[in-house]
Amino acid sequence: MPNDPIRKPSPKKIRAYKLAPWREQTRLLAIGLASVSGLMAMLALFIFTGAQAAEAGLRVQSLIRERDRQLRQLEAQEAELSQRQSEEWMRARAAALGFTPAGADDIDYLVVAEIPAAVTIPPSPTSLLYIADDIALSPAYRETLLEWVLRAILRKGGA
Amino acid sequence: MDRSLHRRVRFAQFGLLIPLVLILLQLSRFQILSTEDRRALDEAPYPLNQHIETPRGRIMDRNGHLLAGNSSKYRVYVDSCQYYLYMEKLGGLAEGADASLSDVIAAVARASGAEIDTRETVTMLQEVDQSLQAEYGQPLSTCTLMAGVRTDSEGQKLAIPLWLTEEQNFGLEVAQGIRPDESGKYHNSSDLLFNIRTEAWFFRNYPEGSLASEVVGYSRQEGAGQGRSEDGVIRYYREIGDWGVERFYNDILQGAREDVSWSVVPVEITSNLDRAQPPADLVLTIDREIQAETEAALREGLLAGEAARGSIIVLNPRTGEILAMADSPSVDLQNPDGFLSTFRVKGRLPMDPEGQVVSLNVAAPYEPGSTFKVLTMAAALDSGAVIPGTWFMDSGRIEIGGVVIHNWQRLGFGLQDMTGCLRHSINTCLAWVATQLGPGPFYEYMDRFRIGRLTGVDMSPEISGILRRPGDRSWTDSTLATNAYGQGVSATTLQMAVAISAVANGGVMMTPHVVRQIILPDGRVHTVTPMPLGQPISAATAATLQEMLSVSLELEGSKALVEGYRIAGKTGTADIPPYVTTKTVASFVGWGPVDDPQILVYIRIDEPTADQDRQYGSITAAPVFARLAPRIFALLGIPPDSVRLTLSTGG
Repeated sequence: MPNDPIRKPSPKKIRAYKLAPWREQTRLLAIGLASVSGLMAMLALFIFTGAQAAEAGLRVQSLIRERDRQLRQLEAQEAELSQRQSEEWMRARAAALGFTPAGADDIDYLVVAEIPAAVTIPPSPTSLLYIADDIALSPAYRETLLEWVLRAILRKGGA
Repeated sequence: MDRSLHRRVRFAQFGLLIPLVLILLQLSRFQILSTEDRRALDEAPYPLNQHIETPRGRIMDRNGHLLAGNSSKYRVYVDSCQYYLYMEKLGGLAEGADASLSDVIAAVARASGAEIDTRETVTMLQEVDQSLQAEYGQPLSTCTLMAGVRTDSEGQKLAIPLWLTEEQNFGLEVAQGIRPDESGKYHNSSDLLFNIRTEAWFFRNYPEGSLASEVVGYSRQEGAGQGRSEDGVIRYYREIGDWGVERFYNDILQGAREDVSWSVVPVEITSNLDRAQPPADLVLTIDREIQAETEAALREGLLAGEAARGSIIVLNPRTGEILAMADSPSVDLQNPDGFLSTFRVKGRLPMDPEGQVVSLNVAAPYEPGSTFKVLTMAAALDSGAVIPGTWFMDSGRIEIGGVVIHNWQRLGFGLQDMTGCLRHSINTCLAWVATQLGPGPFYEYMDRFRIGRLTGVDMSPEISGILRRPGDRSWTDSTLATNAYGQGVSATTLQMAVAISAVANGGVMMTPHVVRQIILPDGRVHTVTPMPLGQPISAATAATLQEMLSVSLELEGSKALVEGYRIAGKTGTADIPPYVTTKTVASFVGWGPVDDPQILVYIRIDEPTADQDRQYGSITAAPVFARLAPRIFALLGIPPDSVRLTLSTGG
């Protein structure tokens, strides 16, 4: 009947529909634990990535130190090699082996057509050994979480 | 509670427990389980103070032979030094006390093999600590070890720096357990070396010693660590070039030294690295072989003339490239202690009695004498004041501006044409030629030859000579006459060589330079393009004068003549101001082959003995050219004239 007043449910019905206290407590507990769990998961993520970054940083430091050490050795060895091939040493060695400087009479000259001009190949620059314009770091160290997710999705999609 | 609910709660517990355990595991892995990297982090102070540096750019000769490179040395620090200083104080009192500073230093000396005066070092560090505490209230936290102490002339104690070599540092690091020994075995670290830290520094290395030392120059470390702070980074520019290329190109050669607070965040590490200034490398125009021949010829010339000093320049008149530049005495770049005494010998010149002349070719002007006649004659021929066939009657004396000019040995040569004037190097003739030209045009031509001005060579320091002009207070009419034969005017060897190179190069002077290529940090190579410095005379005048000079040498039967090659040149014998002694500067400028000049050699020998006429350029300097030129022709692959003629005509 459209005009019938709404009747108050009976106490039995009310009790039947009312959530049991223990059920409510369980739900609240579950929500709370889920929140804590989510928070801890996020913390774990932070700790995990932080630890990874720190380890990578230390590794980078260690590799740079190693590279520095090796490049120092290269520089020193280059200098030492030059010292051992110095003009004075080479001249003395040539004299010891019986060579004498060539005079005009000792040289035969020939005309060679189309001979290319002597090209001096310059040595690689010192700085190239030391400065890396783009040290190959994973983009993960530079991008936001969203960028990381998108990259991961795109990578998977493209694979 | 029913069973299904109980199961759900258990499930939720496990579901929450698993991430918790994972988190704890991750924490444990990072905090408890040790790795080599993390151990390094634990042991190092945070943030890490890292010393990073790039080496100074290399300098090579035109064929890539290294003339200046780098090697490393190691500085030694004792961290927690205050503790060791304290134990040092107690050491004498308590039996079996902990390690003192003396023990630590002795352990470093043992491990590295370095010679360290332990007692003096400890005493000095104690004094430094006390003065620091008294002045700033701060104790010494890190000690920089020294090899010992010396006392200077004023009685002040000075520390002798301790720099370990690569081998010594290796020995120390092996003893510290940082690196394996040669058999690959790690040693247990000594407790005494626990707080020892070494730091590598680049040092300049000159593998060729004294070869081309005048050109290359020397780079030294500046001051005591005056740094410039930029965004929390202390930046050092300690390498300073003293002279030569090292000084002129210091800005692009110098590397960077920085002490940075080094984060463990990779991005910050790489941004720190980006700060290091990249150096450029230089390839010189100097040819090592020609340079060595030039130095050998100079030594022989000085010995033959019993002279104390001298210099030679070899340049290509076509390009202005300096192929060799030698002076004597030359410094040994591997032995800086000998620099000052060498400079004093170089600098014992009337115009620089105080010394410190680092380069005889570029920074020591002198009165050139008769080689200057080439310029006077060039000006007179070019202006039309005289022609080669102009006659001059030489009586052995001429009076100009109230001053009587004489020839060498006061000889008179009679009737001479202009070639004869050059051949006999007649002062009176050239003084007369200058008056025919007149002071205005004469000094205008000298300006065009850039006498009294810098050449702009890429070496430092370059010092110009002095050319007095009409209107200057000390200029008189007689100045023109003396200037005509190279007295009363000064120029460096390089300025003279460049000016005369116009005669060898169709009237055009090229800008002299010693750097051929600059290798930029990104690998690009910038090749220096030869640039004209000016054209003081016409090509026709240059050709005429060159022929006159060649003929005059041949008629004279000069000691400079080279078999198989036609050359042109002029001797010079200059009196030394204030003209009170009989000492001279003997010189010779020559170039060849005359039909295609590819080298010009300027030789200067200071104060040769007068015994057996060796004070004259024709006796002392000319033979040096005759010895050197054929060697250079051979090294450059320039065939004798007859061979070239045959080859060019296809015979």
